Amino acid sequence: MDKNRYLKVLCKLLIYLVVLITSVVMLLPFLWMISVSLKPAGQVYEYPPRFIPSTFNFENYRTAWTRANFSLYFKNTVIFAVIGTFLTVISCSLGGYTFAKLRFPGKEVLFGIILFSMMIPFSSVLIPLFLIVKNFPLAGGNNIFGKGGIGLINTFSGLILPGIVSGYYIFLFRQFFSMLPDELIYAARVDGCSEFRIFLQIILPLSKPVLATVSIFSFMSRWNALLWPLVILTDPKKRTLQVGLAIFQGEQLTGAQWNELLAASAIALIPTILIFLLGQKYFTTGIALTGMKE
Amino acid sequence: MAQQSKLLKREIYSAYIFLSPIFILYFVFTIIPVGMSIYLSFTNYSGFGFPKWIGLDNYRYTINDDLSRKALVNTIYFAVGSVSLNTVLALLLAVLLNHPLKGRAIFRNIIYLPVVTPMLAAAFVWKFIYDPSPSGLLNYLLGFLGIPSQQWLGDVRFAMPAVIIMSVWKGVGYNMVIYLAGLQGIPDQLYEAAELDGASSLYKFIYITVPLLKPVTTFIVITSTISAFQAFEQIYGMTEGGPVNSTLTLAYLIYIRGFRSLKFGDASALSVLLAIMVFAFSILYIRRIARES
Repeated sequence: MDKNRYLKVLCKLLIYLVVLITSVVMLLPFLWMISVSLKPAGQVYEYPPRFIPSTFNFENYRTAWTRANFSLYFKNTVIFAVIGTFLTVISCSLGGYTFAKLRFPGKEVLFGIILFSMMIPFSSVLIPLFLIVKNFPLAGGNNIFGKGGIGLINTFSGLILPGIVSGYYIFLFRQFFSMLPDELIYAARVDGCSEFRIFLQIILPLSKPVLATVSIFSFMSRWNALLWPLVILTDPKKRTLQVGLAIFQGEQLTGAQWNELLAASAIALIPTILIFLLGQKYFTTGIALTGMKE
Repeated sequence: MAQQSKLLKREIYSAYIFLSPIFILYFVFTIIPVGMSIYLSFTNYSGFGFPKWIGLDNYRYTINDDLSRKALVNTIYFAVGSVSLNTVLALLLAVLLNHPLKGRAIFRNIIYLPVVTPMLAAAFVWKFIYDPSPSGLLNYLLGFLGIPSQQWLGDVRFAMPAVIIMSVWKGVGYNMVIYLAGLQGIPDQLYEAAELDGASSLYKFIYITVPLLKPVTTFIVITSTISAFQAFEQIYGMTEGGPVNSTLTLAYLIYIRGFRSLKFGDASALSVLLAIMVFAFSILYIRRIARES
């Protein structure tokens, strides 16, 4: 019996050790990023590498912020992510509600069509999307046939519109709304409440967790988006943070100014960590909602 | 009765109104692009003038083109490597972090942290970790084990494994959380019964945990494979497909062919190929789910 308890303690210690080592490995790239981003140029390639710089060179952050015009990129990204998230949440929640609670012909087929979108890889529609946005009728100097101008290239609309409808988010909303009792809706309906008011005043106030989850997911995916912004933003004034970061790296062909590049990376990364720490429980809510509970 | 049917009519009417903005956007930015991708794959087009119909030429070219084949092989290499490593590690971490440990929430958050960070920023720091000089972090740390410095991202043997390891670091937390949710669904009685029979931890893991998590594993393997097929950002940030195209993936080749060489036709043939791969996996998953339930 004594031997058994001894073994159990040993086992527990071993688990702690493995978990601790894994955590250190997972954190190491973040710590290294911060360490290098604070190093003066002379210490970047020093051997042996220094983990804590001799002086904290915050100058790198200022260089990244001003020379690469990150204050503008930051503003652009916030606008893009906030407006995009707002439109996504509005339209996908309304869609999820309709599929969860309203009765209408063609429901199954239409929902199937929405789910189909989850199977389409973004890279596969990248080129046509670019062509559609570029040839968008009556925008950016285009005529009604979409010729002659640049369409929605370099606009927030071009950046935001293609990403608003997401089969995944509509699915998440539907999952959540179908758990709400029907009686609530029936009562309001009989009282003559319009369907939109039922949604706005009865359903949405009960749905804060799923609203928070989708908002956070949607905001993060826009904040971190690279490929689409890279393709349609050619005007330096319209760049998002990720595009700015990509260009900043490209401009540094002359020798590796890793300290500045990693300072720029940290600027792009820190907001995502803050949002995660503030809203961490909503990240797991989303996963639970996908129905992966067993 | 009359009121009932009036209410139902209003319900149908509202449903179509609510769905119309979604379906307009969906039609313009998803359905039309899918159709266009297929159409463009049969044409020669550089973005100016009109696409010229050339039949199956792009597909013939793609099948015989060394670069496309290389990209296909690399994409499969990346998918198999990253998905298997990611799934196994996610399962092990979930089982470990399902124990009542002190600071468990903190450990979970640390492992999840890379998931929320922008891929490009992560790619840059890993590129510097893999720096070929002896003062590169990985070379320096491996130096303690007596392993000589390597050009991790500059060596055709190591570049893809290096990209895979970075991607697993980035994504393992996500699958771990899914596994943790799955572990909540396994009734404690099963473990208690096994313990009464004197089963070891390893026995319980192999004969209870793994089989009962099978639906979760199916979900993880298939969704991870679908996203691995589309690997772009880590390639863009770390290797740009090099060295000697050893990390060139399909998604990266589509980007290069489309937006650097303006060969929209060739790039569309690759797009269709990629979509078929993803589609096949999705169907596989749906059939699995249908059979299991």
